[in-house]
Amino acid sequence: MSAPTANEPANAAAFAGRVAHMRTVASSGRRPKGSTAGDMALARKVIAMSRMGEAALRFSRDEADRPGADLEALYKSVADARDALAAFISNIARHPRLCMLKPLFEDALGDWDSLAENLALVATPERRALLDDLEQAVRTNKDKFANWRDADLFQ
Amino acid sequence: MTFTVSVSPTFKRQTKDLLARFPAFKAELVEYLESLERSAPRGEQVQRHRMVWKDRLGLKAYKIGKRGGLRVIMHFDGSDAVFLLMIYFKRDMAQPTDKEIKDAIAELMQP
Repeated sequence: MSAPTANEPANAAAFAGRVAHMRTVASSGRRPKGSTAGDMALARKVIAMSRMGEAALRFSRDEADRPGADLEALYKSVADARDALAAFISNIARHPRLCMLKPLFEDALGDWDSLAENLALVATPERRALLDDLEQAVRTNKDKFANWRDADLFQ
Repeated sequence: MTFTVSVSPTFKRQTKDLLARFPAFKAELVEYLESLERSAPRGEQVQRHRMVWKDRLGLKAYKIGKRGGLRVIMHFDGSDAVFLLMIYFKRDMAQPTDKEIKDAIAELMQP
């Protein structure tokens, strides 16, 4: 993989695509044609960072479903991770070379953001009780729902 | 397999408000509802043991991506019926407030 130099026009999507491709081949140990040792080092760092992020996200998702988990603390941690990632993306967006990695991390940001939103819905016992009530209300009042085609949504 | 997609009084009210602000969203919403009929649910379970799901929608006509776009809350229990409970614009409300959820429950409980 050859990373564009500071003189080349940034093509974030193409570069991110190549880095994503590196994720699948770098761990096999073979070096893609035309790539330099420097390219491989950069790719390994990106891979390590994104894998750590994925592991943390996976762990957080599992923790969200673990009975007895402290969901309020987990929500705060996940929201902090999301905010830190957003700040990181904002920082690399200003960097002449690292800005090309922005799309890679934006995908992860969406996942962290979504998990934070889910946790916000269940973070406290009061919120969980409200969701329980909502589920119960749906189960016992299905006659209050209308098929969307008959519901005059657009009038 | 096809799914029956039904809307709550709260979802209907919120949809009307959103369409008043984003009239061009109508076509995207119809497309979304039809896609739910073909393949439901969409999005993520709020927790794995819950029947409540949350989906994220962009507003393509307004160049608003999923992250800052709309949220749809739905109930899906594995049957062929999907119940849409709420739809809101994330920039107005990061997540439903306690009052919004209580109102949604009250609207379902009304005689």
